Amino acid sequence: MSLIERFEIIRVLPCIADTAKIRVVAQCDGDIGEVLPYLNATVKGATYNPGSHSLSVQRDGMRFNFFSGGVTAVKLRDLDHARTELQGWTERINETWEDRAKITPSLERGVRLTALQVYKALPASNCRQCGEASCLAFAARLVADEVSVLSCLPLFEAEKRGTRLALLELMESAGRDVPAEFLS
Amino acid sequence: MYIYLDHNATTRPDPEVAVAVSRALSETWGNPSTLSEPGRRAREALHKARTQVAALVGALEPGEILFTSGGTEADNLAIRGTCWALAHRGDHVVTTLVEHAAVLRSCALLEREGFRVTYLPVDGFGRVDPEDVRRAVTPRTVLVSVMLANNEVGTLNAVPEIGTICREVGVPLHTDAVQAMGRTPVEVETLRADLVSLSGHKFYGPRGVGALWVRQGNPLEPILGGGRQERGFRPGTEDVAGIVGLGLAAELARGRLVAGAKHVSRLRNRLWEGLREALPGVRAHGVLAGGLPNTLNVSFPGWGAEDLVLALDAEGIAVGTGSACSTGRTTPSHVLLAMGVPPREARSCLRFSLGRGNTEKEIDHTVAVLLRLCATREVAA
Repeated sequence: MSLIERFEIIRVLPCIADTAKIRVVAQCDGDIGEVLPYLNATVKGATYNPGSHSLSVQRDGMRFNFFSGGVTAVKLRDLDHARTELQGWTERINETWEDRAKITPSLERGVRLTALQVYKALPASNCRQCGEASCLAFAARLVADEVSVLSCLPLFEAEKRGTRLALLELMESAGRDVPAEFLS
Repeated sequence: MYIYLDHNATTRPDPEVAVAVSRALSETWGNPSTLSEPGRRAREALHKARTQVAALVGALEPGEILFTSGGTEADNLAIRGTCWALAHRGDHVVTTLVEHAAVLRSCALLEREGFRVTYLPVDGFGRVDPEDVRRAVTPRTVLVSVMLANNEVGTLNAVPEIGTICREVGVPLHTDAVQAMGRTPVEVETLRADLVSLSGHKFYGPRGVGALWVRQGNPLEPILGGGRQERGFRPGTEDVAGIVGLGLAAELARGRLVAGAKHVSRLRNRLWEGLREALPGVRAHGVLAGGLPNTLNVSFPGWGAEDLVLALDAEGIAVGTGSACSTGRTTPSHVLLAMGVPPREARSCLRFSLGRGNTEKEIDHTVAVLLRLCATREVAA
């Protein structure tokens, strides 16, 4: 049985960061609070906030913040885009709810990528081939989305596959863009 | 009027090709592996197409051409087929960070199967240093794969120099020439490659058909299990109609190469000049002189590429954000990132890829529309 039928958009505003895009507030016709721990366990890049019992998901440049009664979404192209995305989330929420017996719910905070985490996952050779003074400096710029992981050349040496995959998976789990061509 | 500036994604089949495919579907429908009259006719059609494709790439023998379902399969066959054929000799592959997904994912599959892959960096224009290839090769290396022309920025690699190095060290060289074919000369002897991939729909042929040129004697294992078609390297009853279309497209491309390149190069330069003069913030990525004559990759600061593509589409203009295989996601292009383009800028890049049907009027209209959109955006911002 479906948990919700639909999200109803009740407010449309221009994005603060990007005025060519919109942000929307939408209410759902059921309480999705109970499904959030299951979504937290299954949606890549989800960040659960136990204080507000909300779930934040970044995807393709958009950000969704789900709470018991609905969702706020930012950086959507237009109203049609918002409706399409929310329809997709309605289906995802209902599928997750139906499968909840097979999912271990999680109330843990999602991965918030830090420079230290990235640093620990790098080959840490301080080779400077990326143009940065140190691996830690590179990690900080990577977390800030100022450089690409493709600038770390030792990561793409033949013997570093395990290190590379671990870093890419860490980034992906934190909702970051990763070059999918190098995930295997 | 709809202006199509996305020829690196695909090209509209030449009307002559469309007629030939249609005719072959109804008249040359036999199975080429059978002995009867329909089979013989199909076999003759295959031979003619093989000869036409061989002529386009300067192959010594038509038999060096293996037909595939497209560029992706040709890349997979070249890479996986060679590596498995030489697995007794080694387990190491050298490629670059900017290859098409068909190459990178083939390499990723090999990694899962126990091979090791070195991904070489490129410079700010997208070029791999041939000496980096020499340094990366080890006694365990069984294949080097470096693309001829990049699909996103049009940069041409020094494949002949890389081929010379590969011969010196005794390692086969594969080059993905999918984007180069029909746009710049591709002569297998000049390239000094051992395997060359191509795809019909990039040079006004049909989709769903491509080819792999394999140098005589190059070790190769089939990657599909099945019959003995294509000299045993590519099982499956051949798509005779598609192959007929590919052959004709190859013949037409060969005849039109020089004039076509001159035409699109002139228009591409006109497009870039128009944008550069009016929009100081834009930046071209890759090389204009010496790259593919039809390709221009430009960043538009302040824009998301997808938004600009959709805005242009609403104005009747088709452009790309990079690899067509990457559409549907806004993750920045791995090619631009590997070239050192910052992620934010890489998300604002459009790829214009011109074709022989484009006109000056279309280019001028595209420039005018882009200037209007950018002005609107500046006001909105």
